Amino acid sequence: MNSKYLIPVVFFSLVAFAEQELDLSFLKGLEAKAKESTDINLGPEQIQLLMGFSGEGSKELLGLGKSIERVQVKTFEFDKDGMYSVAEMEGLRAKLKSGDFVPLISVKEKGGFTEIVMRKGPKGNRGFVIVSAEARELTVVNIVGDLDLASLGKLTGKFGIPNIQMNSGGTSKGKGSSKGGKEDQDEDEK
Amino acid sequence: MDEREFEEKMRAALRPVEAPDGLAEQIIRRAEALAERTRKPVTQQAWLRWGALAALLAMGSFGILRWEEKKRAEQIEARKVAEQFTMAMNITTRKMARIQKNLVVEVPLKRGH
Amino acid sequence: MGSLPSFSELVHSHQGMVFSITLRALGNREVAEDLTQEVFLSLHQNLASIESEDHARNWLRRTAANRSVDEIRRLKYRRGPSLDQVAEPSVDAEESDPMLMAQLRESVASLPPLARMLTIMRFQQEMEPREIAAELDMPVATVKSRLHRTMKLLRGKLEKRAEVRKHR
Repeated sequence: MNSKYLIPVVFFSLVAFAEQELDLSFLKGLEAKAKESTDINLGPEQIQLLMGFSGEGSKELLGLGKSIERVQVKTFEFDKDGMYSVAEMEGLRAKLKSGDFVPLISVKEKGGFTEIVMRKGPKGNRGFVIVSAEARELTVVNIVGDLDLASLGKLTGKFGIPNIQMNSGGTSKGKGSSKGGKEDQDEDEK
Repeated sequence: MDEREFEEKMRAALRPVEAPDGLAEQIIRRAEALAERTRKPVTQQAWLRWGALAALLAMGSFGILRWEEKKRAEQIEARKVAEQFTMAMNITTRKMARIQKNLVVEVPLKRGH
Repeated sequence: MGSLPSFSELVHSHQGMVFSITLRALGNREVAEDLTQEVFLSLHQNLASIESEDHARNWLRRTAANRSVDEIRRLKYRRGPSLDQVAEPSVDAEESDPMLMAQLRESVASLPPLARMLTIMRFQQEMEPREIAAELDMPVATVKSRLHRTMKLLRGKLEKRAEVRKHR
């Protein structure tokens, strides 16, 4: 390759890799307003640590760690409606409609929306992003790696994760085949 | 009930309690059993200690000790990562299940948006 | 700063504190006992890094708090009976108003994990918000605002129950 193209290619690769981490800093202000929040951001180095983990369930974790490169989960639960603005999420929504993202599910509801998009790579699926904005709960999940939604089905029954049937792609109407139910209910403030 | 009274009631409701009888002894026994499992016989331990000291002096550094500490720290860090990873998977699959259960979906599925 | 007592002395001195934190956080004696043991075994493994009795006490309190929050969250996502279903009766015959005490404990037990722990640190361990913030590595403002919201919520619940009882 002509060396004059090398720097832009390297730069683009670095940017592309960095792009896989979603910038969720715009949500920082919601922490103080939420009654409960979760912030998980595990990058390649931390997931590599799982390879050396020798505790309970390490075999399953090892298997997962091999195909996942990054896990970002941000959740916020609020006391009441209107504690955040859905409009603030439009920047993220716009980003998920461009580039390597392929929409899978896109639903607008009263006071919120749900988006599930797949991330496409040169060799197939490179993970997915879920954004669920409800009146009192906001969730963003970004998983990067060589997996799709169906791969999550392999997690069922492990680590206390309930048996959930995942359908990757296509439509679903009404109630799905999930065995959710009691676990799906919020166990927070009654 | 005013705020001050309420706080007094909270203190009363959450007041510290005595640990169950025998708990301390149980903890100490477990800690000793754990230590025993890694302990070697006294004479062997003594020889090992002198031998290790000689090796350390010969090497002129405490690299081995630092390595062990580093390994321990890595395991602790790995455990934390494992717990976070598990929690992340839990949240993700639960959210998926809820979406799947509650949604009536129209999927545009237009690529290249 | 003081010299460091033996592990056995530390267990006897602080088992009550650790057990109290875990019991009020988890609402179940058996689970609280198990977690108390784990916290002390963890201390035993880290004894070399403990410098004094004060350091040990703060270490134990912080570890008990963090482990309790983790355990609540872990149990929340697992199948099987929830803590609510196996919670122990919390009425103590010596209390002047046992029903009120039980209601308050039940309300605290229904709080989300972090709010629950902040409440315990404030009202059981008698810690100031800045001490709680340092212990749990949170901003002081967040601790204060969450405590304020939690207290408002708990008082509201109590008042609602009092109203319901009045109208029966």
